[in-house]
Amino acid sequence: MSREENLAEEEVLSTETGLQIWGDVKFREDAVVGAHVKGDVKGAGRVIVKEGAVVTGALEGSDLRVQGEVQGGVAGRGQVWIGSQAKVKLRCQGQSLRIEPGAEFRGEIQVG
Amino acid sequence: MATTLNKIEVTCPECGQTQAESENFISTVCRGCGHYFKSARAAASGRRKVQRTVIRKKELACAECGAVQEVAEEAQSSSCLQCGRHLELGHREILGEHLGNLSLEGELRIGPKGNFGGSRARAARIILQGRASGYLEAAEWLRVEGHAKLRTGAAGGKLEIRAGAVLEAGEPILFESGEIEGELRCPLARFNGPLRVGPQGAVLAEKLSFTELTVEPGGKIRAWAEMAGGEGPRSGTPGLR
Repeated sequence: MSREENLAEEEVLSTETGLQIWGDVKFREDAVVGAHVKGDVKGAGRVIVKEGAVVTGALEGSDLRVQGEVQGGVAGRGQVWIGSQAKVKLRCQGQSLRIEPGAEFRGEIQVG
Repeated sequence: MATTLNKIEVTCPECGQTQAESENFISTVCRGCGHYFKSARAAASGRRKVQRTVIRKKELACAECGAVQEVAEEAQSSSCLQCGRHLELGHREILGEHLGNLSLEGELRIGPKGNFGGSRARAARIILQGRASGYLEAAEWLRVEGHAKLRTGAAGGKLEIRAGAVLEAGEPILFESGEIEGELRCPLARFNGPLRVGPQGAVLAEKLSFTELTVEPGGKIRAWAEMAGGEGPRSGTPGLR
């Protein structure tokens, strides 16, 4: 199984859905965020923000996949994917970007 | 002087009886059984069918009132049955300076040294390689192939900027969808559908809107952006996992 395929099962420092965190969160590895985080989220690897999750600050990581809400903008060092249920405000940075129809985005885009 | 006709012996295909006929005979009746039959030559040639010329038609929407009518594919001009507007159906190429407005149902090509100096040009398809002072409206698509400059803006179905091409516009660009392999510079670009920026593509705009965005690795965007109103088609969820 490839690294991509087992991301959700093995290399996840996941916060449970329903959990609320006050303050910034840093992940050393790939991460899945399912909580309401009142602060920034920074990941050394890939970061997935699940549907229903909210990050009030900024989201950073290598590759980002957003299905929830990020209010402080997203900055990826690689691919950024914003799903059809996602809400992202303020800014979006990455080396490549995909915004699905139905997503909500409003802000500055800097790609490439 | 009488012409002597050579006789040949023919066999009835029905009863097998033989009889003499002129060598040029086309058909005859068997003297034995009364069967009517054609000569081998006449049967082989068959009946010639009269072929009628089929006039192929196409649907055409009037640029003025939108009424749809059918016109011959090869027609160069027509008149709208609804509003009477003259419809120019052919193609046009601008290689130098062109003053005056244009409205074509065909293709308009503005060459590398061409300059459309009118206030408005409308065509089904526009290939832009040069300059335009007036507003361009391409019902189907506007394709940019050179270093093109628009003093005003453009609108239409699909905006295609080929690799290596540049489109600089002074006013808003409004299209249904976009395929940007070259460079787009404008104050405002609005796409009511999907926008794709290829590996060599770049969009530099003050404001940008779309319903769906794909920027491939190598592609570049610098813009303040928001999603355009209305829902586009739903798609799968490729990419990261």
